[in-house]
Amino acid sequence: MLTRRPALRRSRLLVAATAAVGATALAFPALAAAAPVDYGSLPVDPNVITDSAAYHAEPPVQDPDGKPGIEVVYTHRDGTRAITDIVLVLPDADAANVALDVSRGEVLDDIPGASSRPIAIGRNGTLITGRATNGQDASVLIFTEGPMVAAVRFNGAAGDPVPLDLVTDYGKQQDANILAALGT
Amino acid sequence: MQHMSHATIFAMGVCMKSRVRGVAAGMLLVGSAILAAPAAHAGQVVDQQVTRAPAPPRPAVQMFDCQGSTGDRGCGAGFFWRDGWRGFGCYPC
Repeated sequence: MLTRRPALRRSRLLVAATAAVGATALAFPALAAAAPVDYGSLPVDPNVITDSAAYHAEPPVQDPDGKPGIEVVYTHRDGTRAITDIVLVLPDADAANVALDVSRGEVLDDIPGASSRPIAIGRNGTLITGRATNGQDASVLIFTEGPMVAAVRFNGAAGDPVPLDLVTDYGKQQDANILAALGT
Repeated sequence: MQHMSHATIFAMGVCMKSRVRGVAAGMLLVGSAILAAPAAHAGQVVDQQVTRAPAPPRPAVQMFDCQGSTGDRGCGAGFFWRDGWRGFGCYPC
């Protein structure tokens, strides 16, 4: 069975996510007043990407750790795979880039000997793959788009890494959701 | 020769004649071939290109699925039906 880890150590990633209210106003101007912003349109349902019913979504966490954004964990029905999708909304693109660098370092800490390479998704798209400290095969896609930073972690059993084409499909849809939310 | 009949002597003569004719015909053929060979190649450019022998045929590889058969659920050889990252489907072995 899968021992799920948080997609990223939330604390460090979210430390970089500051100025929540301002970011919210930028990303969703129509909803920026008093009501809390619903980021439910940002995560990507892997069942749509895979045209399957293989994944079960846990209840989304709005504004994880009090930072603007959303986190959803999708668990495969066989219990050996999980996709954790985090999208954070920051004040601007510079802050998003800082958060990206922080999260990259964090992921590399968790996956010793991981390989990191650029991937053509969003801006500064990076794919980090390797064997995590918990023994699972892990692939983490991180990228920014405007003031948002996305981190998607694919956890599988040892010897069952996520296929690259699935990472690409998922990442492109994630980027599309972000762009739609930004109205671009 | 005393004991040979005329018929026998006649037959020997015919046989000898036919052998001589055969040898002569063979010589003519060889001679014509020797004479004809240079004429046939006259005016041709000598091809210095090395003619490579055709590569030996590769051994045919027959991929089987993970159970050693030729595929399950229509996946075909080399694929395996299982519940993977994209749900139930055909995955490479």
